[in-house]
Amino acid sequence: MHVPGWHDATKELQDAGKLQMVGIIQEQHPDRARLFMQWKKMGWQILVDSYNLLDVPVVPITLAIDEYGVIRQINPPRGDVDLLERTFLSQTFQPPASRAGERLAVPDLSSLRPPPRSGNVEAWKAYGDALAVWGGAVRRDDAIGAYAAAIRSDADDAMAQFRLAVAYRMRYDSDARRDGDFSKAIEHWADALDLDPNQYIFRRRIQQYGPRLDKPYSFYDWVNTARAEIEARGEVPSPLVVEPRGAEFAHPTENFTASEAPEAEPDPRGRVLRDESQFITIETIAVPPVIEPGATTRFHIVFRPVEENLSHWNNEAEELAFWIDPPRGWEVERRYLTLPLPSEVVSQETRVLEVEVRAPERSRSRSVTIPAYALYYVCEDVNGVCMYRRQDVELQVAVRRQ
Amino acid sequence: MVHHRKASILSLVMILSATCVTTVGAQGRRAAMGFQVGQPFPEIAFPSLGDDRPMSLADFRGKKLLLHVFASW
Repeated sequence: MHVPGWHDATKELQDAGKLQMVGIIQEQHPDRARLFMQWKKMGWQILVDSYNLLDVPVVPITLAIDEYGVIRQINPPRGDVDLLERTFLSQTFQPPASRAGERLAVPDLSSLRPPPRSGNVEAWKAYGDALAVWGGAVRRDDAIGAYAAAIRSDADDAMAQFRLAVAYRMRYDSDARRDGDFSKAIEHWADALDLDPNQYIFRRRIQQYGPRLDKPYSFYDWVNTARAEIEARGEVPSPLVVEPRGAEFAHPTENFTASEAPEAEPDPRGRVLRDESQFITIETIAVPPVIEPGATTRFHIVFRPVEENLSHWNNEAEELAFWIDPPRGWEVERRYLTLPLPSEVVSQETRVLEVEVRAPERSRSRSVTIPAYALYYVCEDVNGVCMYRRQDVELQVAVRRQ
Repeated sequence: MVHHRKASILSLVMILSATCVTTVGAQGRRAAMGFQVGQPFPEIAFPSLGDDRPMSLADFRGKKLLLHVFASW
């Protein structure tokens, strides 16, 4: 990989104090980079740029920067230390006549005021940046409001769309999550990419959660290997705030494969009593939400016990099951899906199923609803009454011909 | 002979075109990345990984460095 290769090649120079290494992470979950750094024994300083304040369209980028902060080389030949020594490290550079770089000081959030309602997209974006980057979870709702105002001012500002999506996904991954946060993140990432299709940072965010046909590589298949090797060294792996799963581990594929094995529908006559979201809420997110004919989307189906009703999963019975009934011409990886049960008798965790669906080649532009339903055992409380329930679900995706 | 000269001219045109494309491509890449050789790196403050302490490239001035803008995927 690019960065560990540079690290290994320049280790002696770093140890001799002749060269510093610094990283800027362009990642939704920067703590994953911390685990990666620990795994690769890269102990240097990392700065976090999840909102892409740098406005870079792609990673990795390597810059050779002199002692005055001036860029001297962009993407020097990878790992060629001799060349780097000759053309950069042994060179004497002069300080710049003036410092022309932009200055963005850390804002004083206590005195920060929003732009006037008539403020332009740049003003709202700058306000959102300050709140998003420096306000933490406490000011995230305000950051979302600021980026939303930026988009109301100019819906064609791709970076405002991207940053709004980043903030929505961050809230989705927090205790302050609201219904629809993940869907909105995907929607605004998709809008950002529509506006700027050559922006690979935008594209990667969707691919991270999207179908295998669109993935350039598995994003986080290295996590389990890293943890095992770190533990084998006698170290404790750096914890992750949000565990990668499903699409984030999935490897790319060149062909969509629908299951050909006969699958028996679990409740064909619809006799199981309905839950109607009293005990379990189900959220479905299509990534991407709009596809071309013949393309695939990946549905994330999220099941959450309703806390107000003290709902719990009953894990002594059958596993959670999900049945998909695709319209004619649509293909699905598997129509019948199940989730393994945890070892506890009852539990209250969020459960997620992911499944990919392919649109017919000759589909016309339209919104499509794919009927599905879930079957599960749920209890009213830890020692309450347990029951078997069905909940009908609509998986929604739009097909759009280019 | 004529064929040979035509081939040479064609080769020259192709080489010049390729050079043009390469040069434009390299400049395009530089512009697209927002960085320019000879320009100071933007002095933007970022939270540092682990403790959220504000840092910028100015904190590393005085010694040459390799800056990697990257992701762990």
